[in-house]
Amino acid sequence: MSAIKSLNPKAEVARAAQALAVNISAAKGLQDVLKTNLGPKGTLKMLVSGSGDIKLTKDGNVLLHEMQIQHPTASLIARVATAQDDITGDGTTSNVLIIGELLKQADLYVSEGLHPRIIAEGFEMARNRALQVLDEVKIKREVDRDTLIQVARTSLRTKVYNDLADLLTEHVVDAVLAIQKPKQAIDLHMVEIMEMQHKTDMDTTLVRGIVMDHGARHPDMKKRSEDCFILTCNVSLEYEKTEVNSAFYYKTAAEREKLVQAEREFIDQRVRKIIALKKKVCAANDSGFIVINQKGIDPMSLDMLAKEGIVGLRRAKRRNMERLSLACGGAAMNSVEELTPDCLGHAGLVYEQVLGEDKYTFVEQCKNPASVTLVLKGPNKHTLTQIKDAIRDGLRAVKNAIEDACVIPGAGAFEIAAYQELMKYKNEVKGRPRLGVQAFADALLIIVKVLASNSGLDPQESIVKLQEEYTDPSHAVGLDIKTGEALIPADAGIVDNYRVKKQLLHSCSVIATNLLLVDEIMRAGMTSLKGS
Amino acid sequence: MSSREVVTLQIGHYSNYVGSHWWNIQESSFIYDPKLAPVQKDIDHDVLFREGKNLRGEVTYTPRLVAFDLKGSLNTLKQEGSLYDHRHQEEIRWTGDVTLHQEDGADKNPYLLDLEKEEQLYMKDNTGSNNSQESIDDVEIKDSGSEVKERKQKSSDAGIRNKFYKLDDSVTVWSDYLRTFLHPKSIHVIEKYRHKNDLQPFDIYGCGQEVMADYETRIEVEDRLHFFIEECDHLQGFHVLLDTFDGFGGLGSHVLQHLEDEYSSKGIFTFGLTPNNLPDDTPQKRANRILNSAISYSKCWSNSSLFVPMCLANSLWKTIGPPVQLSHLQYKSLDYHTSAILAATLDSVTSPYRQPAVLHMRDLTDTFQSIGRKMASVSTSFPYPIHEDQFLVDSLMSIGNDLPWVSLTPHVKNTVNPFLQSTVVRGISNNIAKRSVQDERSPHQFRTCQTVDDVLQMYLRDRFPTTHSDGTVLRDPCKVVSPYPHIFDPNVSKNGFLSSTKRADFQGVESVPVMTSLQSTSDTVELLQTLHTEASKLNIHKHHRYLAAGIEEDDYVEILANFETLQHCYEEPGDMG
Repeated sequence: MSAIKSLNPKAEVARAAQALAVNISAAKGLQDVLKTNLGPKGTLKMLVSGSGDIKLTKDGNVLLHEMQIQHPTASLIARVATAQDDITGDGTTSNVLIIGELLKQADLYVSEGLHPRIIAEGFEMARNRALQVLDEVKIKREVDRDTLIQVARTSLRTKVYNDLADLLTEHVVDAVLAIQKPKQAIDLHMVEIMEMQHKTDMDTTLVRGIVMDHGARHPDMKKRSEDCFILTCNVSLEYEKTEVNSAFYYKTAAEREKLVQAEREFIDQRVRKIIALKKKVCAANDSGFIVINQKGIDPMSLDMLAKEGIVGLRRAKRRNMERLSLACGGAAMNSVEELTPDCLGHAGLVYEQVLGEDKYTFVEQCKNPASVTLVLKGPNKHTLTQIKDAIRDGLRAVKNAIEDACVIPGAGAFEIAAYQELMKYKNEVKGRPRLGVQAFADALLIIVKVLASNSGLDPQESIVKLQEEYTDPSHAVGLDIKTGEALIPADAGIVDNYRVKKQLLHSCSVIATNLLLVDEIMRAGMTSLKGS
Repeated sequence: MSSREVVTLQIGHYSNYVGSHWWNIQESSFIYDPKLAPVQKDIDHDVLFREGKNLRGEVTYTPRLVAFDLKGSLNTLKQEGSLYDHRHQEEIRWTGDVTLHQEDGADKNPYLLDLEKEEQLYMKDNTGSNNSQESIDDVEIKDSGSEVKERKQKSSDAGIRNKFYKLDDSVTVWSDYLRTFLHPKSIHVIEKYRHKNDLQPFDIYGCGQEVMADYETRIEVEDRLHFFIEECDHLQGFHVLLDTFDGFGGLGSHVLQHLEDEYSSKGIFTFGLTPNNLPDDTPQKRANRILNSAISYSKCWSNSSLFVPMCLANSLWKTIGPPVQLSHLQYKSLDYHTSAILAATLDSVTSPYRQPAVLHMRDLTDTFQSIGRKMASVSTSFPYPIHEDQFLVDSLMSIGNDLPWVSLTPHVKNTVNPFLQSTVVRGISNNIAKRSVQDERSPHQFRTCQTVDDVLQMYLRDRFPTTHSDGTVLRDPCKVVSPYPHIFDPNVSKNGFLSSTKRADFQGVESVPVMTSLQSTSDTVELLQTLHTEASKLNIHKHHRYLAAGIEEDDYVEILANFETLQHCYEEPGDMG
C-alpha cells in the first residue's frame, strides 16, 4: 500500500514491475506509430481532420505534433523527441525508435531480476563509447558544396519524392551558401520562405533577392522595372490624425477638412523630398525607382509618386527591411531629411506577379545578396506545407554540416559500426553492467532493422550481411535499400549530420534511463483521467 | 470618401463566440439588391468587411479579421474556409506507401446542414447552364461599387434567416452557428495546445506568451495581420476582442504590443471578454482567473487606446456573481447566449465611427483616454423597452430617474454621472420620436425636438447634466434573425417592440431597438480596487506555473502598482469640462 493511498483513496498507483510495464508499453506504442516513417522508403501519411483539412507528412516531428497523445509517458517521450527536432532539425523518428528499443531490451534483463540501476550504468558506459565511435566514423573530407548537396539530399529524400527532393536540394544549398558570412553564425532567418499557391511543386525556385507578398497600390505604377534604385524607409507617408486636432466632435465636415488640409501639407513635403532624390539619381538614365516603406502610404501620396514614375510599396514587414538592405545594399532611412544617393540600394529587376487577390513583388538580380528567398509553389495548401516542412529540415541539415565542419555516413552505417565496437567493448567491461552495454548495442540496431523492413528487405539478413562486411569504424558500411547489400555510404552520397546523431545518443540514453528507474507511478487529483 | 477600415482581432474561444454573433448580426443587415439599398447608408459595411476575389475569379466579401483559437476548436469549420477552395484533386507523388488517417467528421447541427444545402444549391446554379449569365451579373454588381455583397448568400437567403432553430443544446463551439464566410487567412490555430485538454491546459497567462515566443508563430501571425492591414487605404485602427481569463491574455498582450509598435498612430479599441459560467470549483481555478485577469487587464490598458472589460456576471474575482438581469430577456448562462448579448451591444457601441460620417475611431478613443483614463465601461439596454404604440419621449420619461441601461462591465454599476459618454440609439424611427407639437402631454423640454436625435441630445443633457455626452442615432434596428438565440420575452414582438399579445411559439424576434452607452466613469475605481485587492492577496510564489512561464515577482509587483496608478486617474471627478 502506497503512502499516497492513505491520503487520497482515489489515487491510482502502479509500482515496480508494473510501473516499468506501463512505461514500456507507452514507449512501444509510440514506436509502432512512427516506425513506418523511417527512411526514404517509409510510408507517407495523409491526415484528414473531421472538417476535411488535409495534412500530408512523413516527418516524425510533424506527426507527433498532430497526434493527441493522452498517455503521460508517451507524451514525455514525444516531448523529448520534438526537442531533438528543435535543437538539430532532424532525428525525431530515430529518437522515438531508439528510446522504445532501449526500454524493450532492458526489460529482457529486468524481468530476469537485474536491477534497473545496473542497466542504467551500462547504458551510460555504452553511450560514452558510442560517442567515441561517432567521432571515428566521421568522413574525413572538406565540407564543400558537393558534400552539402549530399547532406541535403539525404535529408530531403526522406521527406518528399525524389524528383522534388533533388530540385529542392540545389535550392536549399545555394540559399545557405548565399547568406553565409565568414566567421559568423548562419542565420537561417535570412532565407525567407514565400508560399505561392500556383502551378506545381516542381516550379519551386530560389530567388536571389527578396520576394514580398504585397505590391504597389496604384494602378499607374509600373509592374516591371529594370535597373532599379531601391529606397527602403520607415517614414509615414499617410495623413494621420495628430493630438492637436483631437476632439470629440467636429461641427462640420468642412471644418475637419480644413484641418486635414493643413496636416496634409506635412506629408506632401516628405513625398516631395523623395521625388527630389529620384530626379537627382535618375536624371541621366531611365532607371527605375522603388520606394519600400515600412509605414503606410496613402492614396494621395501614391498618386504623387506614380506621377513621377516612382513605384511605392507600403507597410513592408519589419523583417524584410533588414533583408532588403542585405540583399540590395543601401540603408533603411528613418527620416527623409538626410536622403542621399548613398542610402539607395540596387536591384537588376523588380516586377509584380498577381495571383487572384494576392500580389507578389520580386526584387531580384541583386549583386551578392546576403538574403535570399525560396519561393515555394504548389497547387494547394497541404502540398505547400509539406514542402515547407521539408525545406526547413533541409536548411537545418546544411547549416549543421557547415557548423560541424564534418559529416558522418548514413544508411545505418553508424549504427552498425557502433554495434560492432560496443560488442568488443563489452568484453572489457567488468561485472553486470556489461549487460546494459549489450542492451544498448542491440537497441541501436533497430534503426537498420526498420530501414530494411520499410524497404521490403529482411531485417535479420540485412544486419548479418552488414556485420560480415564491417571491418573498422573508418570504413563503415551502410545498407543499400535497393539491393539489400552493403555499400559505402560516403561513395553513394548518403551522409548524415554529426550533431543529430550526437544529440540522439545523449537524449535517448537519458530519457530511457529515467523511465527505467521509475518504480512508482501515481495518478491523483486529475479527475479528468478517470475512465480513460 | 472611401471607407475608413478597421481590422478586427478575435483572440480566444469566447471572443470568437462573440465575434461570430457580431458578424452574423452585420451580415443579416446586408442588402444584396442595389435597387433596394437606401440612399443614405446607416452603417458602412466596408469598414469591417473587405471585398476580394478568389482563384476562380468570384467576388468574395469577408471580414477583415484575424481570429485565434486552439487546435480542435473549429469542429466542422475548415481552417481555410470554403470560399477559396480549389476543389481540385492532385495525385500524391510518393514512391513508397501512403496511408490515410481520417478523423470522423463532426456532426452538423440542423442550422449548418441548411447552410450547406444552400451553398450546394448555389454551386449547382453556378456551374449550370446560366454560367454566362452569372458572369455578366458579376460585372454589373462590381460596377455598382459598394453594394457588392457576398454572392453566395443571395439565393435562398430569406428562408434560413427566418426559420426557427433551437440550437441551445447543439452549439458547442462558435463555428456551430457562424454563417459568415471567413477569408482563408483569418483563422490562426494554435497547434501546440488543444481545445479543452486538461492534461495540458491553456489556462495561464504564461502559456500564451510562450506560444508567441516561437519565431515561426510570430512570423505567421504578423503575415496574417499584414495581409489585412496592407490593403487598407485609410486604416482607422483595430478592434481587439480578447479572452482575459486564460492563456489568451498572454497571447493577446503580445499581439497588442506588436500593433502598438508597428501601427502606433492607429486606434486600438480592446474589449476584454469573460464568460459568466467559468468553472469555479477549485481554489486554483479561482486564483488563475484573478491572476490572468489582473495581468491581462494591466497589459490591455497600457497597449490599447481604450480598454473595456465586459462580462455578463456582476462580479468576477472572488466568486462569480449572478448573471446580470436584463429586462425582457430570458437568457441562460450559455456562451451561445451571453456572447449574443455582448455582440449586439458591441455592434451598437462601435457604430459611431462605422457610419459614413466624420467621426474617427481615434476621435472617440482619444477623448476617452484623456488624463490617462484608458478604461471605459459599457452599458446596454437590449432590447430598448418601448411599446408598439409608445413614443420615445414617453418611454424615456417613464424611466424617470432610473438609468435607461444596465452595465455589462463587471463591478462597475454606473450609478454616478459619468465624466464622458457616447450613447447610441438605433431602430427608433423619427415618426415615433415624440407626439405632435400641439399635444399637451409632451414634456416641455422636448417641445422643440423634431427627430430622434434631438430627443436623445435633449434627454442626455437633461438626465446627465454634468456629463460630456455624445449621441448617435442609427435608423436601422439590430437584426437578431437566426442563428441568433431565442432569448427574448414572449411579449417582445417580431419587430422588437413590447406588445400586449404574446409572440407565437415558433416565431423568433427579427430585429430590436437598442440603446447603448460607452462611459468613462469614476465607478471604474470599484473594478480596479476589487481586482487589485484580490490579486494582492495571492502570493505569486505559490503559483509556480506563473513563475515558470516567465512572470517575475517584480513584474507582478509592477502590475499591481499599475492598478493603483490607473485608479488615481478616476478619483477626481468634475475636472472635465
